[in-house]
Amino acid sequence: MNDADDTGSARANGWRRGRRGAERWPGGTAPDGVPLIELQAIHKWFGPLHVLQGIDLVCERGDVVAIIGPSGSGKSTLLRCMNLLELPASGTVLFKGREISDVRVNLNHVRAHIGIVFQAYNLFPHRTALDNITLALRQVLKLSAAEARERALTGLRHVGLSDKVDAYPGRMSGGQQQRVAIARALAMQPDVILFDEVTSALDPELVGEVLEVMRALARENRTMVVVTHEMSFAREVASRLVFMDEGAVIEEGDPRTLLSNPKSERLKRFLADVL
Amino acid sequence: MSRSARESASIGRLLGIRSDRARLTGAAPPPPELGLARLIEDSRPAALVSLTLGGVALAVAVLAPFVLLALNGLSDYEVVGETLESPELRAALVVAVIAGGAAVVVGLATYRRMDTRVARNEAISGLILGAQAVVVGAAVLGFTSGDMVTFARHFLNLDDVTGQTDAFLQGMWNTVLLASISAVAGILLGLMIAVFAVSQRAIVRAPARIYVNLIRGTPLLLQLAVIYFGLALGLAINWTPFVALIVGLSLNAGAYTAEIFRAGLQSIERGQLEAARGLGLTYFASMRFVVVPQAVRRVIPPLMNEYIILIKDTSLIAFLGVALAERDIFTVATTGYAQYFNATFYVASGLGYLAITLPLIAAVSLLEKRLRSGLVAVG
Repeated sequence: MNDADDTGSARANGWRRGRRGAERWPGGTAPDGVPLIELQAIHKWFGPLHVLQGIDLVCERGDVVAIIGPSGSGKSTLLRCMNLLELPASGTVLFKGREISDVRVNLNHVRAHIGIVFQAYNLFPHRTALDNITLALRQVLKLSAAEARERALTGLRHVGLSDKVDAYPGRMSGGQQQRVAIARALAMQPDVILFDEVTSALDPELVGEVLEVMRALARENRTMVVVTHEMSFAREVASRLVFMDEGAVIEEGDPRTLLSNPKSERLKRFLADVL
Repeated sequence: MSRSARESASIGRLLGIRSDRARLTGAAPPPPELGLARLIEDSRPAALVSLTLGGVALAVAVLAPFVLLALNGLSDYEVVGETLESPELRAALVVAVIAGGAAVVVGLATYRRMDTRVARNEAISGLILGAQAVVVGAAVLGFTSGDMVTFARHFLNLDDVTGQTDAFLQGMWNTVLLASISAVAGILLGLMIAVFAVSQRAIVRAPARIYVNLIRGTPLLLQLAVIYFGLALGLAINWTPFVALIVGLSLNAGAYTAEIFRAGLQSIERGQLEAARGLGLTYFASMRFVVVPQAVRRVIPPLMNEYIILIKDTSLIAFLGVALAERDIFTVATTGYAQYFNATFYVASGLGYLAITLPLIAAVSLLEKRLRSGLVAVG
C-alpha cells in the first residue's frame, strides 16, 4: 500500500517518534525529502456531491501554495482537509511524513502546528484581541500567563495592531479583525498557516492591509497555503499555483507561467472571467 | 440631521447625487432644534384637547378608587365596601367614561388633519388614552355595582392579615430561598444536559432528549407527587416537603433550562468551534472557553424568566403540606384563609409575589435592552 510505504520511508530516514533529544512529532522538523503536508488521493462527498475527486498535493517547507479556481470548485474544502476540520471520505493526509488521517492520531496536537485563518475571521467576540491570542497559548501550549501575553503582544505588533490589545472584535474593522486572526494563528508558531479566502469578506478598501501582512509573512519564508481570489497576490507571492475546478486539480506550477500561459481550456476560461 | 434625511442622503450618495442642501450651501445644515419649544410650536389645539381629555379621564378612572379608599380608610372592611359603592366614586367613574369617550371622538375626528407629526401623535395618544379610560371606568363601574360590602369582607379585609405580617415576610424569604436553590441546581443540571443534547453522537443526545421530553411532557404537580409520596412509599426516602420541592423544581427546571441552553449553544456560529478546534483546543476546552461563555450571555434573559416561573411554582409546596416555619407565601395565605375564612390573605400573597417578581421583570427587560444594543454582547 502506498501510505504504508511512505511512513516506512520516513522511518528509514532515521526519524522516530519520541527519540531522545529530538522534539516529538508533530513538533520538530521533518527529515529532508519529507514534505510538510502531503495529500494523497483525497475524495470528499457532500451528500451526492463529489466535491473532491482524488486530489494529490504536496506542500514543502517554505512553500507558498496558492489555490485558485471558480467558486464551488472545492478549494476551501481541500484546505480544510489539511488540518482535518473536514474529514475526507477516503485518501491520506500526511503531516511531516505521518498519516494524520489515521483515527489514532490526536488531532489536537497536530492542529497546534497548523494555523488556519478563516474567511469570516471567527474571532472570539467575548474576548479582547489579546485574549483571543492567549487562549490557545495558555490552553494548548501551556505557556505561563506572562509568556503568553508577551507572545501575543509581539504577534499584535507584527500585524500592526499594538493599539488594539484590549479592544473587542466588535469594535474593530473587518481588516483589523482579520489581522488579529492572523496574529492568533501566528502566535502558535505553527509550521504552516492555511488561509481560507481571508479577504473575501472584507470591504475592498480593507483588503490591502491584510494582503500586506500576508506578503510580509511570505517574505519571512513562512510556509503558507492560500486559497484566494486575488490573482495579482497569487502571482506576486506564491511559489506554486494550483488551479482547481469541479473537485480536481487541473493545472499546477509556477504562478507566472501558469497565469500568463495557461495550458488547459478551463484555466484560460477562468482567467478570462476574473481578469 | 433627521434619520430620513440621512437615509435619503446616503441613497443619493449611492446614486452619485449630492443632496440639494449640500450643493447649495456647501455645508451640512444644523440639526433641527428639539425640546420643549419645538413641542409647543408644533402642537395644535384640537390635538391638545384630545390628549388632555384622554389623559385626565384615564387618571381619574384608575386613581379614583384608590384616592377615595385612602381618604376614607382601609382598616374597616365595611367602610371599604361603602366607599366602593359610594356615589362619589360612581360620579368620578361616569365623568371618566364620558371624558374618555369625548377624547376618542375628538382624536378620531382630528388626527388625520393635523399638519405636524407632534400634533398627530398627540391626537392619536389622546384617543388611545380615552379608549383606555372608557374600558377601565366601565369595568370598575360594573364591578362596584355589585355587593361591595360582602366583597370587601372577604377580599379587602385587613383585620386578620395585618397580624400575619411576620409570617408573610418569612414566607417571602422562603419562597425566594426555594426558588433560588432550585434555580441554581436547575441551571447547572440544564447546562450539563444541553451539552449532551448538542453532541454529534445520537447515543449521547438520546438520554438528554428522553429526560427533557419526559419532564416537559408531564405536569410539575405529578412530578412532585412522585418525588415526595412515591419515593417515601417506594424507597422509604422521607424528605421534608421543603427538600422534596427543591429536588422536584430543580429536576423540572433542569429540563427547561436545558432547552434554553441548547438554543443558546446552537445559536453560536459554527466558525467559533472551528476556530477553537483549529487552534488545537480539545472539544471540551472549546466549549468551555469559547462556545459556552457566549451562549450563556445570550440566554441570560430567558434564564431569568425561568427563575420568575420558579418563584411562582414554589407555591406548589402547598400540595405537599409544610411545617409552619417552612411556609412559602402561598402556604401562609392558605393557612391564613383556613384559619380566618378571609380571602384577603390571597390578595396579600399576590402582592407579595409581585413585590418579588416585578423588580426581576424590570431587570430582565433592562438587560434585554442592553444586550440588544450590542454594548454588552461583545463584552
